[in-house]
Amino acid sequence: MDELKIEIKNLTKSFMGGEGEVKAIENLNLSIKENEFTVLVGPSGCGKSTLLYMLAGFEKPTSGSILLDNQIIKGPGPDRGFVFQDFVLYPWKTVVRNISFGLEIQGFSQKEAIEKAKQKINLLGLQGFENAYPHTLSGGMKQRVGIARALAYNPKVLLMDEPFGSLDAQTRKLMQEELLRIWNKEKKTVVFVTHSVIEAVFLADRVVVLTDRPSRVKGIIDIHLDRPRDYEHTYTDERYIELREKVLNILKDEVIHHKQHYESV
Amino acid sequence: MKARKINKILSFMAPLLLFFIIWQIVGVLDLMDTTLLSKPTKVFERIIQLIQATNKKTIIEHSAESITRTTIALFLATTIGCSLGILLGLKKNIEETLNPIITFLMPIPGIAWAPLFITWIGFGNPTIISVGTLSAFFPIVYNTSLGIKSINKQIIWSTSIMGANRRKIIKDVILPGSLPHITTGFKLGLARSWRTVIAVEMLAATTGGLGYMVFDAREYLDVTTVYAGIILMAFLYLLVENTLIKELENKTIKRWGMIT
Repeated sequence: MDELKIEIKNLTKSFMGGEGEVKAIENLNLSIKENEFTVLVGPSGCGKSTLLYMLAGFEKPTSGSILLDNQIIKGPGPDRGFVFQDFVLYPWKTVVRNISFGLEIQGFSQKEAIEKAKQKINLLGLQGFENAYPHTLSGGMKQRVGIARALAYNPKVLLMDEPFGSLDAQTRKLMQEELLRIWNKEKKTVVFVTHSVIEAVFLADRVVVLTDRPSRVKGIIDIHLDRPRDYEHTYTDERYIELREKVLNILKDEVIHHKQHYESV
Repeated sequence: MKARKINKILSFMAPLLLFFIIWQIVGVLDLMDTTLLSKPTKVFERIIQLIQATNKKTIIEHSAESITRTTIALFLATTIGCSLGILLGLKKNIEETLNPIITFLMPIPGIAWAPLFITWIGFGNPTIISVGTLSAFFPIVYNTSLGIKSINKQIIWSTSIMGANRRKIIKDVILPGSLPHITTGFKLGLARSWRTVIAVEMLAATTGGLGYMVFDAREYLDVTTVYAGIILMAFLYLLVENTLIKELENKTIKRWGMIT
């Protein structure tokens, strides 16, 4: 549990925008332990997703480095799984083939891959939908497929970019509980991006608050709440409410800063 | 489901039927010169005669010739157009070089190439099929490359993180992902090659084809046969689009929810 999994050192990322160079992230440092559930929060547009994209290897740092198991991340690879806000499933593949595809890429035969995918179908409660096409599913079900797909080939790290952001409030709560149940079973290092403080504190071992652009780590709050957590108990837990206030207070200045800079006329 | 389908066909047929009835009334009441306008009953009678003709090519044989030419043209255009479209969609520098040429040539009507091809390779099938191919090629190449370029970046990412190499991504993600655009290109290609083949048949066919038949009938002022040919051109196209193409779409992109 205390093994260091991810180490982000002096990370800077800039883009060429319409008005010249825009710094999304500047000198960001962060360490993440193995099997830890880390949630990144910050004002919208602060570079949370960009950070996650760099962890995935989709984008490259401008300077600095990200180490995964002491190896510099050079590109995307199957030691990581990624869950997108908009699901990004393969519309032409059935649910089971969406999930088994990663295993086929790993070299499993189609039959073996489907067999293994069945375990994740059960884990995510997708029984009965194996042969459905994604467009016939509800948002919550689609994201179950998204999570199953990311877990299917057994990556060590699960990266989640506002995965419940496009779900309705009810489904969202349900999916948060489901995610904790799955995480408890599968034990992964999770890096989860959200702008919901409620969600962040409910899920996390540690909440990392990022500053407005250019992003740095503003504060890290350890969430020492009992597990397993569920809405019925955790929501009314006084410590949970206190922690939520604490995160909100740290975040507040950044949101005000963001508003002044980007939303003033 | 079945009732809805029948309903749909009926609501498509009703206005057409109305059109034919008005045409018939105009013909029967002699409101216009019937040697120029003919009458639907006469036209359908003629179609039956032309199906049964023994002294000359039947209308079925003429149709078969046009269909064969269109099929070959469409096959060639799809093969070349899709391959080039994929290349253009994947390789930005090639696209930047070829795109201006394609954009320049695309609006030229297929038939405009006919005089050139007749000069180069003479009358007959080679010219008809070449011009048909050329006219179908442009929408196919354009839509294929558009489809490839408009693939969502995230779906490529989500595959690359699973460890897929470029080849696998192209084959299993980019190509199926561009199918809606490729289908659009194919449908436009079908429509364009059908029109062009028939048009070029009027100029360059020596043996048969619907275009040839119609143009030939004009020489004898046989307006009824001209109408018969025209109606068949429309009917055959609609038949292919609503059976073959629809079926193909229903089994693929429609089933996958990639088109509504």
